[in-house]
Amino acid sequence: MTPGKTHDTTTALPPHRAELARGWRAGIARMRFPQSSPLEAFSILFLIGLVLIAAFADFIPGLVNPNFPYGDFSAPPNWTLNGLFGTDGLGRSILSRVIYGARQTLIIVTAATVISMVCGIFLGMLAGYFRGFAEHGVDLFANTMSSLPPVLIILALVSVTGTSVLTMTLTLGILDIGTYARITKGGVISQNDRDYVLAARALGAGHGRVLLREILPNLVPTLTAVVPPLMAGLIITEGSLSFLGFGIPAPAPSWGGMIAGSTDLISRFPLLIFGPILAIVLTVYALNTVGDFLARRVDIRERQL
Amino acid sequence: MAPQPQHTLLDIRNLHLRLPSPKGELHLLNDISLTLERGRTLGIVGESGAGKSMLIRAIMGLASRKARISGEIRFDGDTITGMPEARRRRLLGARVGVVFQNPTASLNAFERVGPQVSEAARVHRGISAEEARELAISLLERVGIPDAASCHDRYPHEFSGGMKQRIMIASALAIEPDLLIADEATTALDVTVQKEILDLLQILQAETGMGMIQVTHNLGVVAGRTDEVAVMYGGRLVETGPTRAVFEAPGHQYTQRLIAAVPSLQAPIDQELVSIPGQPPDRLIGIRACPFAPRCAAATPLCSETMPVLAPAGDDGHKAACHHPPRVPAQTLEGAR
Amino acid sequence: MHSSATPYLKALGTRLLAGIPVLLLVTFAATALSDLMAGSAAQAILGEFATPEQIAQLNAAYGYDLPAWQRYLRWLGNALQGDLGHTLYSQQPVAQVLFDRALVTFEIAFAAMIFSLAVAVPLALAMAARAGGRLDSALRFAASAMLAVPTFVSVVVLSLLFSIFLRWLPATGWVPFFDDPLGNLRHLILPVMCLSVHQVAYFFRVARNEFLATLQQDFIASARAKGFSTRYILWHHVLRPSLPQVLTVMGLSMTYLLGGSFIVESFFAIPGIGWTVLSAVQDHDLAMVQAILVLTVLIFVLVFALVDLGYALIDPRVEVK
Repeated sequence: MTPGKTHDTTTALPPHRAELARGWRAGIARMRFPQSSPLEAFSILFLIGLVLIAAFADFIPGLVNPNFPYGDFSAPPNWTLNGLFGTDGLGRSILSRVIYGARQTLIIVTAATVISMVCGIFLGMLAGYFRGFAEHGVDLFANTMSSLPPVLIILALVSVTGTSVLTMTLTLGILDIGTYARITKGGVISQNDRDYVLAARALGAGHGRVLLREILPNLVPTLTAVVPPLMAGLIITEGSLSFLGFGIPAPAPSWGGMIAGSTDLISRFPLLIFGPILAIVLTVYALNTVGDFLARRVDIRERQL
Repeated sequence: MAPQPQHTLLDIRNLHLRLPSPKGELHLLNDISLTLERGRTLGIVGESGAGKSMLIRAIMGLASRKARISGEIRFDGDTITGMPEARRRRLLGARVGVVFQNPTASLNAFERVGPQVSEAARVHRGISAEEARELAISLLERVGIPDAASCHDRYPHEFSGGMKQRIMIASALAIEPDLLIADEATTALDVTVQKEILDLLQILQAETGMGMIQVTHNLGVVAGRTDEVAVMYGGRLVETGPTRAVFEAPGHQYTQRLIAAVPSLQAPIDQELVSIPGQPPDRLIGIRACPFAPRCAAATPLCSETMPVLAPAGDDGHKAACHHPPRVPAQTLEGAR
Repeated sequence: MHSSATPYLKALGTRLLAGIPVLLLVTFAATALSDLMAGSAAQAILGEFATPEQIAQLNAAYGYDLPAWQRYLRWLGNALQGDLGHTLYSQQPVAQVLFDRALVTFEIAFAAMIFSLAVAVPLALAMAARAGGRLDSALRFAASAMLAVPTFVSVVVLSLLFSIFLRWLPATGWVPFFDDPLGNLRHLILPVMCLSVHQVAYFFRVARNEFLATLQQDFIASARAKGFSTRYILWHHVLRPSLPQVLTVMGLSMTYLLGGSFIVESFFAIPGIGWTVLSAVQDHDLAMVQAILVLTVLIFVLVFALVDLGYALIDPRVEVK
């Protein structure tokens, strides 16, 4: 499949040999993208397109500023660029707001994902490698976080800190630390007794080297597979908070906020709500689908071991 | 054996089974013809991958839906190939019992043992709950489960592997089958338990007069325990005949090597175990050569050019498909019993 | 048959005790929250026009001038006596207010869970039998599409459809069950449907895959060899061994349902926990926020203790300790 090729950064190893080889190259070689279904290919393409549009929104010719009125109030959709999804109650282009909302959401969610991955992988490696106290601590944290609805955690934090892009990013970043830690921990524990780790240790490799150079590369496929669905979860959480009025402060465009804003006029202008809905549903669908695809690949690999 | 007039219980004619796969069509069964008379026992022998289990699945109608099957299978006079699925299921389910290899996985861990034993009778005969309980307890007693009445309400995980296999046998007997198929039924068990289970099957077969098929990769299971034997290799029947005749004078190089590979208790302790070098053939293409030729010590150019057909190799319907049948009689298998 | 329920009650107790560390962590974090406030907590809560007397009063009542651990011990001591404090403005007992609101949320969440299971599990069972077929593929796609619909989208779309276009169901509001059972039902339908969009798809997916995995097991092959019909095998041999996984997912979905209730309750103006927490956050009513966190964790711990017991009831190999 052609869309897969864009991700295929190494051609060094045939897939069935990859397990025997060690290190980062092998880990990346295990993430090939062949045999995606049409829906999976669509999802990959959609996400690439979304990222490109969001990144280069400023350079799209003719796209108006999302925060300034551009036409009539609540104008129905028409076949012009800015009017494609219609205009909102203040006459702003909904398409433009959807695109700039995508940029805002993607930046926040990506930053939050980086935060949770870095913290989660670090904690998970400590817990899986040293076990004992570190493991108990990480388990307690992960259990606690999963016992509370994400929206409630953030609401509790926001009730004292107030809302801003920074607090939103940081609080979203806390949510998935436990999940990444738990997955990393499980992976480290299962890899720990494999021959290649024992061999590395017999050769005198220290804890840091074994963890970073030997074990972590083998966890890359598993960890990569959970990133898209977790990001989808963050997008939903962020959208929910914006919908409830505790998200990014106005007038910055956000999908959840746009949906909430259009509900006041929904009985008169039902068409105006579909732009942001389409954006969030497609994005979440694409992320989940890519996640399933990656998970299936990991599954196949695991069974071949 | 029994002097009663015999008639054919299972009759397989020119059975082929092909399975589409991503790499191409797999020829899993090729031109299999076999018969089993009522009340007789047949051993089907071969390495793993020889097609034994596929043959059983084809008989029971359990092969993959994608499989293409041709040829004819008749059970007690009824042609079951091409029969509507539900009818075939009910016919065979009510008259054939199957015991599988792994008793731990073959029992439902979530159900009590007794109801599992009587289940087939409950479904196919609609017996009442009390009858089912009595039947299950009597069957458990019959297969040698001590204190059967109290075992009725216990769960599979409370039993040992050998006991679980006895329970499986009991559940296969619930319908008083005309044919019992033991598909590698003793493979997963300890050697001493294996012998107990084989003895049990032999006794039950003699008592009930049912036909029995023993599928195994172990010749020792078949030797002296079955009336007839069929040797499979690469999805083909390479030799068939009365067990005694096949063991005394094997008509196929492969059979001879198999017999030689059975460890014997009488052999000197330092004697090396014989194995057959090489791998079973790739089943991708319908080959024209003898499938065993690449691994055969006696192979000649003829073997890789033409496929040998089953031809008489002795009395009583002993047949083999080999261009160069072994001349030296193989050693007898007393030790392997 | 198992003669007595006592071992189960004991096991339930042990598992509830195991939830105590989580509970302590959450409640302590909730107490410490106010330290994150910019400047003095009392000042932040009351706003910049608060008089020093008002601030002193608030500090006396809630202890915002004390270190977190002192405040926590005080809260814990009161909580153990059933006193979760008073709401910030109306000065009602938090426990009392929360109890009334929780009943509403539980009714909705419980109804959504039952409805989703009732739709998804039989459907999953039917599809597992014809896995790979057209209908199965279509439903799998529908499920993954439904999983991509956030609750805040389904509330908007479903209320647009059912209360604005079709006018079948009331758009907002709530009638307690004991005041008017029928009215309660009418107000229940739309919230339950909104929560079920995600849940039906989730249960369907998990259950279908689990049924399919069970169908691959050896004991299913021996059941097939006995000539049982597929339908019989599904109900008698596949369902029960697959239930532990379904039970796990039911436990996990409690968290989702509570989170979803925030959206649903705020949108339909239903006086449940979600609605309460939103106004508490707006008012900086930290006692209420803390109490809701406690309640949520308690539910989670209780649900998973029950799920654990469920395993023991379903799977004879699982021992009750």
